[in-house]
Amino acid sequence: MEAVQAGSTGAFQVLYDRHHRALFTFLIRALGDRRAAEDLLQETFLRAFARRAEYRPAAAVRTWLFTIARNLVVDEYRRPGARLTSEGGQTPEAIADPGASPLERAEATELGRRLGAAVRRLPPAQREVLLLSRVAGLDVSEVAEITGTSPGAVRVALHRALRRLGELLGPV
Amino acid sequence: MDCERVREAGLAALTAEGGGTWPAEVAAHLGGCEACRAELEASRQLWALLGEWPGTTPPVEVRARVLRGVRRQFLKESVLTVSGWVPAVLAAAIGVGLSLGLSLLVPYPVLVALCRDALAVSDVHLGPYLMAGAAYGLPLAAGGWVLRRRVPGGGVIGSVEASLLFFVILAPYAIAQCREFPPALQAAFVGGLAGGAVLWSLAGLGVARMAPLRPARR
Repeated sequence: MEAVQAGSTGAFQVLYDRHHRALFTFLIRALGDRRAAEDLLQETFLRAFARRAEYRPAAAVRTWLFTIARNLVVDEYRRPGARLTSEGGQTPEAIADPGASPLERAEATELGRRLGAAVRRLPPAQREVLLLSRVAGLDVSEVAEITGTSPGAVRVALHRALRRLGELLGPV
Repeated sequence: MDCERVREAGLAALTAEGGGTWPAEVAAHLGGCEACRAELEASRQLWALLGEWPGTTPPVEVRARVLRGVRRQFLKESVLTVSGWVPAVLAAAIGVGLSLGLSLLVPYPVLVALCRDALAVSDVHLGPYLMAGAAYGLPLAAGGWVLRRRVPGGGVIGSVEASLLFFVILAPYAIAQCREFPPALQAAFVGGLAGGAVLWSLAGLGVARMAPLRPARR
């Protein structure tokens, strides 16, 4: 990260390669729109580079990147004419990776259809906590740092999200 | 433990890294509480299901767009901001200092004469003047090396900036010192100095890139 802060584009490529997939998965699950997720992924990294001087080594790089991505998602939801819906979003085919294997596409279609629709019907605070915890694989303290809340509040939101998701999905 | 605390503790165990096993107190409660058992079991299934949700990879074009944008941003910072010029000023200052020192040790006419002997050409041949001018750009390689320590990436832009500064600072001195040269040969000397500045600063950068360096802290 020190090399990135000094302006090394080579080090920035390493940073991209290490974190792009987790960030993109988070963005596409949060937005339900592949094109919007691609745009926001690009914006996340460009913003990270532009603000690299603000990064403090005390925070994990991925927490910092997810904070930027999460803020962009919040802005996207607030934006008039946002390219997403809270009722299911795009079809799973539109979300699935065009280069994925048939099995991955089938999984994305079946599992993604139900999960994607249900997750996007969660209240925003619950949705982001759930996605950051389980899809992005961040721990409770990291999620609390990203969302600007306490670990306790994250656990409560997570508890509620799982309960609500269970109601929305029915028997799994 | 009451039901609410059991559910909180169960969820905490579920979401903890490598979780999924209920703590002893939670397990003891679940043995006798059907409602908590059902809820935590449902949460566990959902948690597992979310974990199986396949990740998605963005198309390679996004990577290309990001890297293009980063390079553009870095170029803008290097050229349009004061801080972007700092490493170049540092490199140029080192290069100018060393080059002036070199010119005091080996005056320009002396080096031109040495180059002429080495090339075995006539007094009016441009070669020795170009060669001698370029030789005085050699100290900028040291500046380029220092620049590389300051800016591990994007050093080519900084090197060109340093070469420009080096030349702008040193050219009037070189012209004044070469007054006795005929105009065409003086121009060859100064042209050699300019070309040498660019080549040597890039060479210094290249050497620094080949040798692993620990970048200096900013």
